Parts: sequence; C-alpha cells; structure tokens
Amino acid sequence: MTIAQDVLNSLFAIPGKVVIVTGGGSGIGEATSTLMAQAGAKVVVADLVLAEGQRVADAIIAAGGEAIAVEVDVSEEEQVKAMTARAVEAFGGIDVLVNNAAYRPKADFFEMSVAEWDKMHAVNTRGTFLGMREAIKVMKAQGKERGGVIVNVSTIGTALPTIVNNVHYDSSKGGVNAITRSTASEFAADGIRINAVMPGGVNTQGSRKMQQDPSAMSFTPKGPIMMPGRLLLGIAQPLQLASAILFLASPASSYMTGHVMPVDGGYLVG
Amino acid sequence: MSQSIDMAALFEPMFGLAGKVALVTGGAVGMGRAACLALAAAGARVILADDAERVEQLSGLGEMIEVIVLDVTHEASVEAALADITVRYGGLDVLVNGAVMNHNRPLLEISGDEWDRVQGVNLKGAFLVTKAAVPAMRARGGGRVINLSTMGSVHPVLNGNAAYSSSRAGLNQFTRNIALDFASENITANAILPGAIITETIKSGFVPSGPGANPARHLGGFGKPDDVTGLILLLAGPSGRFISGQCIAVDGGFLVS
Repeated sequence: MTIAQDVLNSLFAIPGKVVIVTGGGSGIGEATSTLMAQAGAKVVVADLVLAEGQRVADAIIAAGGEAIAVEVDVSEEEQVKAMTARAVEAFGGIDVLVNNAAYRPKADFFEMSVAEWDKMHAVNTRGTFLGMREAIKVMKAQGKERGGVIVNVSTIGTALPTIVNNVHYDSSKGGVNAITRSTASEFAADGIRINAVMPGGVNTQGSRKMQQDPSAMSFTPKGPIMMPGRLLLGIAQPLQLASAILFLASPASSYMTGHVMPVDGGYLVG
Repeated sequence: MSQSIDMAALFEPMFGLAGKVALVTGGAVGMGRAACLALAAAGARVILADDAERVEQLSGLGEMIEVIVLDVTHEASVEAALADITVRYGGLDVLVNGAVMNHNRPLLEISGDEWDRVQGVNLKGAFLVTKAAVPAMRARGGGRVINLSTMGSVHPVLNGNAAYSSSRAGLNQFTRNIALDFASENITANAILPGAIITETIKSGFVPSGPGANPARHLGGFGKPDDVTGLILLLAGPSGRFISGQCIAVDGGFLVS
C-alpha cells in the first residue's frame, strides 16, 4: 500500500517556519523542539538553563537541522523581549511560539507563602502573557498572510484536579487557558491562531522523580491522578505531547483557534 | 528548510496508515468523503459506505478506496458489513462514523417519528456501527473510533436545530463512554465538532438564523470539508494514541467569538 507523502507533508510539515519553544531544554519542551526541527522548522530553544537549551540545539544541528539556544527567565520582561528579538535577528521573524516553560513546585495550601504563590503566577501566567505579547507584536507586523501560531502548554488539572498541594499551579494554568481563548478571539483577524494542550501524566524527569522516589519531593503526591487506572492509556511519553503541539502548529489545524485540547490518556473519562 | 530533513521518515511513523483498514460511513459526501481521501492518502485501505443513490454517483476515487452500500440504521446489514470486512481484511483499525441526517425544522413542527429518524441515523446508527466494529478492532489488537459530531452539540448555532443538536450531544457522550469501556483494549474514541463547514448536503434555499448565521462569529471564516482531515489523521494515526474521550472543536474560533 502506498502513502501519498505529499498529503502528509502539506498537512504536518512546517518547512522554514521559525519556532520558539520556551522550556525547550527538557521534557515536553525538548521533545517539541526536536520534533519541530525534524518537521523543517528553525528552532529557538529557550530555557532558564542555557546549557540544557544548548544541548538540545546542538543535537538538532548535529542531525542536520537549524537551531539556536537562548537563555530566558520567562517571568522577566526584558529577557522575554531579548528572546523574541534574538529569534527575529537569527531567523527573520516568528511563526510559532510554544509557551512550555513552567514552574512546578508543590506547596501546602495553608503554609504556602505569598511569594511562592506570586512566583508560580509570575512564571506560568505572566510568562505566557509576556511571550505572547512580544511574539504577537512580531506576528502582527509580519502581516495577515504570514500571521502566526501560538501553542500554550496548560495542564489537565485545570479541567479536573490531579494532585493535592497543586492549587497555585492549577490556578496559574487556568489563567493560561483564559489567555488562550481571549487572545484567540482578539487576534483572529490578524491571521494568528492560538490554542493550548492540557497534558495528563507525562514521563518527564519531574514526574519520574515523583513516581520513583516520592520522598525526594517535599510532599507525597496524592490525588485522583495517582489512583490506579485513572490514566486509561497509561503515562505519556513527551513525544506524544510534542506530536499534538506540532499538529496545533501545522496547517493540519488551520481551522482551529481558541481550543484548549486535552492530551490526557483518557484521564477526563477515567 | 534543511535539505537533510527526511519528511517521509518523520511523518510515516507519526501519521502513516500503511496496512491499516478504515471504514467511513457517510463517506460519499462532505467531510466523510474528505476523510476517505485523507485516510487513503495516508496509506489505509478505505471502505467507503453510504446510501445506494450516493454510491452510484461515485467515480475516480482511486484503488485504495472501495465502495459499499450500507444503511447504518439497519442492524443486520451493519453486522454483515463488518463481518465481511473482517473476513476479507482480518478486522478493522479505524472507524469514522460520518453518516449523518442533516435536519433543521422549528421544534413545534417536528413530529415524534421525525425526531426518531434523526436520532436513528445520527446516534443509533453510530451505536450500531461501533458495536459491530469493536470485535473487528479486537481482531487487530486495537482501533480508533472517530465520530463526526457538530459544534452545535455544545453551543446552540442555528434556530430549529434541536433534534439534530441533541442527537450530536448524545454522540459526544457515547464517544466518552466508548473511550472508557474499551481503553484497556487499545481502542480510543474521540469526536470532532466541526463549525460552519459548508458541504453539499446543506439543502439549497436553506436560510439559516441564529448565532451561526452571523458571519462575524466565524473568526476563521467558513470552513471546507478538508479542514477536518488533519485532525482525522492525528486521531487515526500512531501520534493519536494518547488522545481519547475528547470532543475537539474545528470551528474557526466560533466558540471564542
């Protein structure tokens, strides 16, 4: 049986597109950066830890792709401005922004400091806003024909609680969902599509630590998602989230905007 | 684009369907037809099922698509069709429930029998085909159920759409329950909620009214059947393994307008 490769390419390839992935140095971000490059994109691997971003960028280049690494704390306005400016300088524009960088420590509801609550929202919510504001400036200036795409990484916890001591995280990502819908409405006329994914359990460094050695965390994780069988399809590999993110960044989803899409292994129906 | 990047090596493992067998009900027109062409392009053997009069008018679909006549509301016919597919191909990998009875009439003018016919095609039809398809999917070690619903199932779009939208809202919950019941057998189930996608099944002379008739609400303009094919390939292919129980809008931003 033959495959019409041109059909798959026209739907899912993003040749020459300039893609920024924040938190691109590990986990879902690393898988997304790598997959975007394989799909033809020029990738800006942005990470709080430059060495991690550089490692991913180097691997992309070694495989024949194009990438640069940028150090960024997404909660810092000037650093985000520098990140988007670097993307434009290196690759001549911005076509896709994946807001994946996140702050994730757990905290007891009563003992959590205001500073901790604020830091969570500064990275996850303000960071998403700042990245989108700077990227959309560039995308608007590029004109409606080129337009742009934003993919935000939220959490299934915004739709159904997953674990305890996570109120501040779910709150920060609930804001990301709202930003996604509001901006999708506001910037549709500029040819800019904005969607989000809500991952369930993903096999990343952070979640492995949680599963294998709960004592390494300040809290023992407990909650609905830790119940056996709730993740109907088991735990996801980062590539499975990256695949959904590529879909939302590619022509395959050209009629979708304002959608917050669960990629949760059936958690919501489990 | 880097010339060294091998798209074939990348996309075939993600979205390729070589060796897979797909059944698309309502496959002769609109999104069903677009689904058939996309699944075949991705390498699947496609069985296009539709009414006799629609099937007779088909031609030039290519060697990957074969055509059968099927009334999805007739239980014995559905069972016979899936049994035949299983005998010939060893089972079924992908089912697209696309058979649909479009319907628009003021609520007070709808008879009980008319209501039943709408539910019969749009909800019971999906039930009958899915029920017969699950054993065929088991024979292949898993499968993907993709139900074509409507954005009107979660947000009223047109006046006079109560029977149609209700049948689709039922299909949404049917989708979630299938996702739950068969998750352990590697069968996923998802629904697609298309927005204002213009197909030839919309009767000429139909004058819509309601939120969906306001062009300003369609941020992405009106859609075309091909707008759902990317999502169908995602849900049908290896990359969709972790997506189940979802109702995904492809609505050009209507829900955020």
